[in-house]
Amino acid sequence: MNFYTIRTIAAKELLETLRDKRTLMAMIGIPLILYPLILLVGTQAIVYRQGKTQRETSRVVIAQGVPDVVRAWLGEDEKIETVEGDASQSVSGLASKTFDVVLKPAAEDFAPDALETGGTLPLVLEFDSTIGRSVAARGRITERLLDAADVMVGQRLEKVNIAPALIKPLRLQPADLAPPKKRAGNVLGNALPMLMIMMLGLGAFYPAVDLTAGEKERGTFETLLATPTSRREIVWGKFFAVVGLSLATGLLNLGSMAITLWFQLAQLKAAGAGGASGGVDLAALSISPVEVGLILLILVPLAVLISAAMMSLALMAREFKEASNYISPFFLAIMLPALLVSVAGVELTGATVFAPIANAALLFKALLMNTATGAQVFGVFMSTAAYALLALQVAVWMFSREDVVLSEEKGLPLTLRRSQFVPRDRPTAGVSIAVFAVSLLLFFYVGSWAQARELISGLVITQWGILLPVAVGLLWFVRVDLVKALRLRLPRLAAFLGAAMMALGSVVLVQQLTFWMGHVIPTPEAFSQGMAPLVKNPGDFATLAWVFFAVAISPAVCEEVLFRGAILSGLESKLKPVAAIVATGLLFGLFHIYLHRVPPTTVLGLAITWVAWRSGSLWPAVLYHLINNGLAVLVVREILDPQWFGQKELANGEVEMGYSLGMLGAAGLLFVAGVAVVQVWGRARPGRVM
Amino acid sequence: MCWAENDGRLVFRHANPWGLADERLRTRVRLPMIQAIDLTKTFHPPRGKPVEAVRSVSFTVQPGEVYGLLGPNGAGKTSLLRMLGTIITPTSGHCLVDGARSDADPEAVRRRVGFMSGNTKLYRRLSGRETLRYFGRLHGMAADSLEARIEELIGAFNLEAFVDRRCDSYSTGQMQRVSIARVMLHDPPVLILDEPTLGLDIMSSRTMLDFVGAARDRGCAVIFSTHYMTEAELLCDRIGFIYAGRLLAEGTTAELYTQTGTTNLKDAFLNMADEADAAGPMSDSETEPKA
Repeated sequence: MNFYTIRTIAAKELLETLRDKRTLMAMIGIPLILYPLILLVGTQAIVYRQGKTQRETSRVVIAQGVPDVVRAWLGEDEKIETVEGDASQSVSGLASKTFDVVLKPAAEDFAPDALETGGTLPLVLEFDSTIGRSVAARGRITERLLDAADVMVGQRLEKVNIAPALIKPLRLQPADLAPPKKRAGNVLGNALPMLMIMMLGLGAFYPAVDLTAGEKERGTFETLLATPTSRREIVWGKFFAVVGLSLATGLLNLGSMAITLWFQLAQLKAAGAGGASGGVDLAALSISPVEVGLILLILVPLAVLISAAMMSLALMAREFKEASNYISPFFLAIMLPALLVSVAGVELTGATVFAPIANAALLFKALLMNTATGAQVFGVFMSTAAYALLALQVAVWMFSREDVVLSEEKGLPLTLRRSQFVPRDRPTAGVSIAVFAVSLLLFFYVGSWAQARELISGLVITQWGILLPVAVGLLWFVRVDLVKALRLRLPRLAAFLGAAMMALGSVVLVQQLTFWMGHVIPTPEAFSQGMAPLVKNPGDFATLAWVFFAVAISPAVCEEVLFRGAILSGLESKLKPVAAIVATGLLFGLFHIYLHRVPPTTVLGLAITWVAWRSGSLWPAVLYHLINNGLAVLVVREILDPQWFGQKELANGEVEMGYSLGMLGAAGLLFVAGVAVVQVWGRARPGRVM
Repeated sequence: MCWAENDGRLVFRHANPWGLADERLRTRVRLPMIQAIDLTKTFHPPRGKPVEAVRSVSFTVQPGEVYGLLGPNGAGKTSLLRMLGTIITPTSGHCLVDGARSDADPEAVRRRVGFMSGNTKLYRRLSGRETLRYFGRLHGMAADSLEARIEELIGAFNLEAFVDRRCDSYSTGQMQRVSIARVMLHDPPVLILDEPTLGLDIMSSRTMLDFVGAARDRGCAVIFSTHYMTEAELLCDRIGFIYAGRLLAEGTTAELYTQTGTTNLKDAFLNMADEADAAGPMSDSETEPKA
């Protein structure tokens, strides 16, 4: 790829888009002119109305039969004015605003002397909830009468010599301990994430259509395709323009809204109408530069994801209008998760970290409320980035489809037939990223649900029902040679030996790393509790076998096929071996969701990936993974004495975690020896296929 | 000659908007500039049966030769020319353009080709000059030589009056002249023109045909498709009849007349097409050998 070409395309697309009045209106006109206008006019109206309502007196018609004492109570409030009127025609009277409320004796059980006799005087207050003045009058009169009633209660109790406390056995005063920032963040956090995602979508919408379907409609696509640029360069150039416009629109909108909002609140406060903000002091919401940086950090992959997806969708259309029809449902679909966040009490824990779009919305809220953790920021960023990359790969693939780019027929031009893929030995990096992202998505939607139902069977379903079929199925579909791509060739015997030595050594080393990690990132309670089924029915062989199959054998096969097979071989076709190994190790680590597990599993992933690469075979990696997980199962179920594995039981019954230096040294030596064995005697050879 | 390679960069020696007869071309004068080898294109529409748009077509075009592709709508002309321009990939077969192979290095092919069709319109929100600058950059031309080249082309095609206005304000003729300048920017040894006169008035048609003639005179290999028989008769050194995706015949006009026993291209073409139809649907003989 030539970056000069990409820059040239992006610059031209930006120039062309900015010369379009429609875009300029949507991007700049609306945020910079319309919002302030609407909000300021709205504020003025609220301020004016509130002032008016406060100045105006409430006109009440008191019907025949209401005792005079009630009239006297109301007369004490100078804002309440008793007027003459026909109480029987209250509907028309209220509607014509000749009076605001009508106070009537209730039709049933009315006793005019109830106040004197110690009974209850039933009254009806008629008002019209659609007329502001009437509502205000209702409030004033209710308040006044209840106050008077309170006084009367005191008098009655005094008369019968009862202390007022007797009828008030409890006084409850709620105290909100949430700091003002958190409260303000909670209110804003319900609205802002959705607005943010909406703005990104709005910003990407028009350019995504204009640069794809619009270009087709105007008949300039072929001009561009006739130049010596690659499709990938064209996608990237256009894509940078769309993302840039999306981010610019999003930030312009948010900035404008924030400034207007602050201004509006200041005005409302000055006008003494603080209640309009829902009792929350939005001024308490100071966002630190770090948080702004974090929001931007998430905003970028989010914009990439939305822009790339919109471009892919729009590209399938032949014209502007058709493209809008394709994108609109997508636009609504991305708003939905954001909307759910503000409605339901969804929390950003465990698997929700991987829910596309929704995770970003939840994180924005957490950042505004000052409750976000590093693990959340990390998880959301990484998964959003993975989805963004997938969306980009799809866009590149779409642009390389001539039936899509040059379609002249009506309807969706896209067909997906296996025959259109060229058979190859290894998947492309794009296919690998797709495999990873699809696995992650299914893992989130299906796997986490299955595991929440029942851990052990859920693990088995995740491994054999998701990871393995996705990896093998996708590679098969794009006609990759499975034996070569998945390294199913048998290695030299020494590779097995070396892998086993490395595994035995690394079990100790990685576990020690986990112990250390425990001081930095504590194991979440939810995770520890969730693992309880692993140790149930101690001593029962059937349970042991089932757990061993789910936790040791299944991942050893399925995860290896996915990571050391599909992903490694794809990344290798794009990256240098070192980079491919590191990237595979990292992805393997990331796949383990909980932050405390990421560093140890990444280290483990690096070692296993290296073994697979060096030996040219998946099988030593499977063995490595099997030994690692198998030992863990045996230790957790105490088949092997945990004392040998760094869990020393102290006299007081507590368990001290950690290995002795000697043990660590021995493990290190064993690991290094294993590396040497694989390096020297276990390297890949041209040979038999299993 | 217009440019020579100097440290790998294109440097313009003197003003010559056509500028095609450089040394490299002369040394290759005996080699065909365009070689289509067994080009086949099958489309798979989302609904319905696969369409064999082009079936195993081979031909060559020499430098300084105008090759006309004649055929009715839907004969496969556009698909064939798009394959030559590497805008679409052949289902099988390949082509060589000035030594570059379409399947091995499609970008090298596009660097040597000036491609124009009814679908290569101009960006309406850019000016003529911005358009030329944009496509020059995409062709990897260095900034100073690009500006010089643009000035040359503005002079050669009389674009001064409107080149700094946006393309959406152009007349059809003005649009066409900028398009021709766009094609000539990188000084291609090969021109691929798909129905360049379709829908043009006589004045614009004449500009186009003059341009094709001039390009030939400077040693450019030109392949262009049309269904105007008179145009082809006037301009083409050789003609290929394309019908139902197959190249029925090729040769000079005289050769085609003798072959069919006719005196004009229209009759010659109809003659051939009837013969082909009489031989039955071609896909039968192609895929299912008769028992």
